[in-house]
Amino acid sequence: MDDLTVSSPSPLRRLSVPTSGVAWLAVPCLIALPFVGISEYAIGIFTLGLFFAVYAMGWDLLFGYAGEPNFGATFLIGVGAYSAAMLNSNGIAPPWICILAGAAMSVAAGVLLALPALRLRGPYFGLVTLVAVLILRQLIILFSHQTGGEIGIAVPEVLALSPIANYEIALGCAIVSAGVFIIVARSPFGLILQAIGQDPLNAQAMGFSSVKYKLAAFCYSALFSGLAGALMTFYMGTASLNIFVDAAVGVQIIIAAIIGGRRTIIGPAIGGVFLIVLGEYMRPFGRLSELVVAVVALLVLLFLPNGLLGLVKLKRRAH
Amino acid sequence: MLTQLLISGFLISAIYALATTGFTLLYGVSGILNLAHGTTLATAGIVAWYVAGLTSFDPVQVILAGVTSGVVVGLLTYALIVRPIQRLLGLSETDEHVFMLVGTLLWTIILQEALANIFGDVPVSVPQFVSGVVNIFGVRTPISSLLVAAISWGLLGALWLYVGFTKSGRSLLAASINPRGLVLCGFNLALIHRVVWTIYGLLAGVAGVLIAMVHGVSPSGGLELTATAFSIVILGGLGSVTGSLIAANVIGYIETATAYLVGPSLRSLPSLIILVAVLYFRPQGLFGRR
Repeated sequence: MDDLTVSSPSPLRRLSVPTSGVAWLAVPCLIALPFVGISEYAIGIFTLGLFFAVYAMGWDLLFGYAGEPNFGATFLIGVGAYSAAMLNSNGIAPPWICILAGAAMSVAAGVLLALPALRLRGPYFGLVTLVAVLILRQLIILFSHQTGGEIGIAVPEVLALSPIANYEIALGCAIVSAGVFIIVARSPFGLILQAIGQDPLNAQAMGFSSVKYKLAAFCYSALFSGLAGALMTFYMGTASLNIFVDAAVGVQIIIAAIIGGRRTIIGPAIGGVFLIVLGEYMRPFGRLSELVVAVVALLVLLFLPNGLLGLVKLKRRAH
Repeated sequence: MLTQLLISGFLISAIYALATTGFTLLYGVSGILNLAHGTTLATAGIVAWYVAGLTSFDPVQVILAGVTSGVVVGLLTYALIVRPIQRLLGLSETDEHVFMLVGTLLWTIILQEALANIFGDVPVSVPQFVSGVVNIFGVRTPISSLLVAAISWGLLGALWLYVGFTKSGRSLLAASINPRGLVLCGFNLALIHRVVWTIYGLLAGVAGVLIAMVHGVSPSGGLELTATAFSIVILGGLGSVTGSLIAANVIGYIETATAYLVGPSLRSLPSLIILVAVLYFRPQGLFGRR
């Protein structure tokens, strides 16, 4: 599964397995989920899980395809969330405009983050992204008059009041993101991106501009991360450092993507929802819950390095 | 003011130097970036604090307790996280790097939550080894801070002697230059890796106790320590011990100056900006080899 090479089209065919029949069944099921009588509380958890799924998918496009280990997913999300929140809290624009502006700002942040990726490889790039989050945090604290500092910034308006409507908004965002990411990943663009990620020298020798493709990958990832971040701000009613601009949250996103299965787009989405639901399920155990979630994630990392979706694929191949 | 800055910068830099040397040694010899570094330091500090409260306060016992827990955590990291990830089949090089970073980060969370559950998530500090202050050029300096600096530089000197002048130390150096050649010469690389992790644990143990004495440590403060260690190591060049010693002083002084002149809450901002600039223009750091 990890012997992906550019010359063989098989990874793409394998990729399509979980996305074809099952996906068309899953979409109506997900839309109908809040109407089957689960509590409003559970709907709220799934809403958060869906936003998280978008973040994990965005990470997967960058790591699974472009080969860029982005430890600063929350840099992109944070810029989107804070841009939207600052616009709205000052009464400058209505929610939808704020959300679009947040997504646009996030794309700009994505370009900024892509710059070092064009110069640095592997772990060095990972470090820059990690530092980017820390710097954004410091800047938000420094300009606390505008950003609310460590307390966070409240958003006066909401998109929708009912939990079901909020859930459907999150679901819409997740489905559109998943669709775009899958189309991008399975297109010739995605194939070239993989080639650049695995062997940049060869790919460039074949005439593909790594600058252009990597920049585009960062823009796609940033667009949807920022969109989801801005939507989540309006859902939560506040943008705060510990939710949107936190290195630990960035790591959680990576864990979600690895648990679900790298290089599959859908896998990380499942991993994202799974991680949020697991964390919530363990909440009564207090601090012990974080310990248990970390242990579970570590076990998956060590014993199922290809994630849950990797397990499904292994079974399929065995048949 | 200037002497004050110079002296407190010197003291901070000595601890930083000790605290990052193990980290950079580990990277140099085995290529591992241990993100659980700060939490290893915190563990040693917290265990030392616990032992200090248990018995009638005895500095030797306290340091021994810290060193033991540092070594135990180091070897556990190696056995539970690093070895299993290295043994995973079918990971590309980038995959392995990311797995190692994520694995050690998860280990950080596990350690941190375990510590918080056992000892509570509060900042603790080890009592000063000796009391009293001396006057250096008009600056009142606690004797125990001077002792901390002396211990740090003494230990670093011992490490330098060990790596440069003993057979086992030289084999570590060789492993960082050409591990394959070392194996071909009949050395046991697995043993060398265990030795490195033990030395790492030892250095982290002492450094943890000293940090707990000067600054105080808390279970959740570990990641912040890792971040500082990271900036120093990147600035000096990954794997270069000399580089990280110099960088420890640079960062130590810059942070002290920022804290004095601008404000304590922004003390880490300049070093972060330097870090990004270094990564961008000279990713191998000031003295890195790559």
